[in-house]
Amino acid sequence: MGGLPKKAQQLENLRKKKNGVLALDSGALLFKEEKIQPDQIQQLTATAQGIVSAYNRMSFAAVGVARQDLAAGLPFLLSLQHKSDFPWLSANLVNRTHGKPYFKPHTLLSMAGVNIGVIGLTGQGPESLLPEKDNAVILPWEDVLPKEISQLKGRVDLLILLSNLPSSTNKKIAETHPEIHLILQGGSTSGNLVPERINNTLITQVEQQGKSIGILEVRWNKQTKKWEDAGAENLLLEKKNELDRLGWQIGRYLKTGDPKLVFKDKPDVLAAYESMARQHERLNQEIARLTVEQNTRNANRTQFSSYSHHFETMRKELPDNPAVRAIVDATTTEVNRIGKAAVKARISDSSGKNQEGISENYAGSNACTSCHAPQFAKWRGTQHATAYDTLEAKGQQFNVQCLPCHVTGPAAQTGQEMLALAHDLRQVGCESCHGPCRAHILQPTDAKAERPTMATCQRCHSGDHDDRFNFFEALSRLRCRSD
Amino acid sequence: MNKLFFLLLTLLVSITLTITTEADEKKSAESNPPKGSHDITIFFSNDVRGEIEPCG
Repeated sequence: MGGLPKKAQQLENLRKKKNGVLALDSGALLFKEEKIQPDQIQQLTATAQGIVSAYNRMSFAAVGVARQDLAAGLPFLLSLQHKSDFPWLSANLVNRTHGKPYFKPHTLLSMAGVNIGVIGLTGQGPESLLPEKDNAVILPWEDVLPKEISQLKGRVDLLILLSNLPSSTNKKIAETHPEIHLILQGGSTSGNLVPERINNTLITQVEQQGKSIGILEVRWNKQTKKWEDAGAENLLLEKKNELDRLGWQIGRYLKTGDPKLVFKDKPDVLAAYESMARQHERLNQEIARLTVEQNTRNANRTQFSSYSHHFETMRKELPDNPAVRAIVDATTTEVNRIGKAAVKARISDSSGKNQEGISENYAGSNACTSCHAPQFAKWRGTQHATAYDTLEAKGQQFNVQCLPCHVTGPAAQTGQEMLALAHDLRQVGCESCHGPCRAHILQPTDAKAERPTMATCQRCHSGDHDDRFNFFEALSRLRCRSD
Repeated sequence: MNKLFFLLLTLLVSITLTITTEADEKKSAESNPPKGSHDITIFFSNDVRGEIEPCG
């Protein structure tokens, strides 16, 4: 699932159908982690540049700056900003000395007759992300957001916040700043988040790593700037359902005759009936009141703004956008070229040693066959045995972002080690689950191979890559025991 | 005879006009927002995290 070419095609299709389409990204666009290993930086920054080219092609209107976007350093993102056709937004990533933001704090857009303001906020965290020489600091949102809102007051009809702050903080912002009409958040939650309304603010986000895109169809009334209250409608429905249930229960009592006579010797039962009857009366009154309110709202409906949402999963079968496909292919080729060059440099380094098989504690799956032939045969029939081949098929076999989950023993290896692995370790082999086995091969009884646990599998089959992974199902399918 | 033909023709034209107007109004209500409202579509994403496309 996922991929920028599919996302681009969905956006293009939407633009063909609709007039005012605004593309926004909350951030954490470029890198997965907040820190990058030095030997991966060249490949990952090449990928980042490819992503920016793709976003330029998709005409994104704004992107928020998240902490992950700073992983290759603040200077890198500042330089990438010049290659971006869209603004990177952060109101709280500022220069420590004079307090000026490094990126635009907000941007103003006009679409379908509506003036839209978009503010960006970067998540706070350990200051170690920003080295001393950058002289940068991420300020608390409270220090900058009120100022941004007051600057935009009267200038915009719809105010959107791209937030990389935790979900709980975004809720607090919604509670204290109803001037913000929509918060597109990132990072906090796995999976798609159905728009949640707090006061006059909607909060939503999509799942990680481009697996889905979100579409929000907004009918905005710029005079009132207020979302329609769907909550009251739901409350009325809930009360009517409750009344139905209660009416049915009361009906059962009445079937046997007048409860006051039938249950005159059973005070507990009579008390329960009378309590239900009182509750029934209360509900009737409440429903009458809610119905009057509902009718008034319906009469004034056009004064309110409404929305509908839709999440589209980027399934394999969705079409690619040719222009963005070309950008992605060129980026993949460049990333692979960098990886290949690193392998060459490593092999011909001054020590002159053959670096293949550098992971000294690993023996490779072929070494297991002499004692575990049936298990080896079973493994050969699994997708683990062709994990590296799938990378080769897509020209990704030199991509250090992909390699860890497609070779053996990723946890113990750095990016460059992975690039120069012995051939026998170039799949998800026996030792991916059972740990390094060189010692076990030399002393089979004394040095036991490890048994895989859920944590072993979750190194790769995590929510990021495989949110449907079921350890027990996988174990029953893949376990090596011959019985 | 002519009078009857004229009446029938008038009736047919008025029915056709009514049906067309109703259909147009319905279509217009579906595609155009009510007065004072504006339609915007927001396409949004987050946390792409360098995943330009799936690995394998």
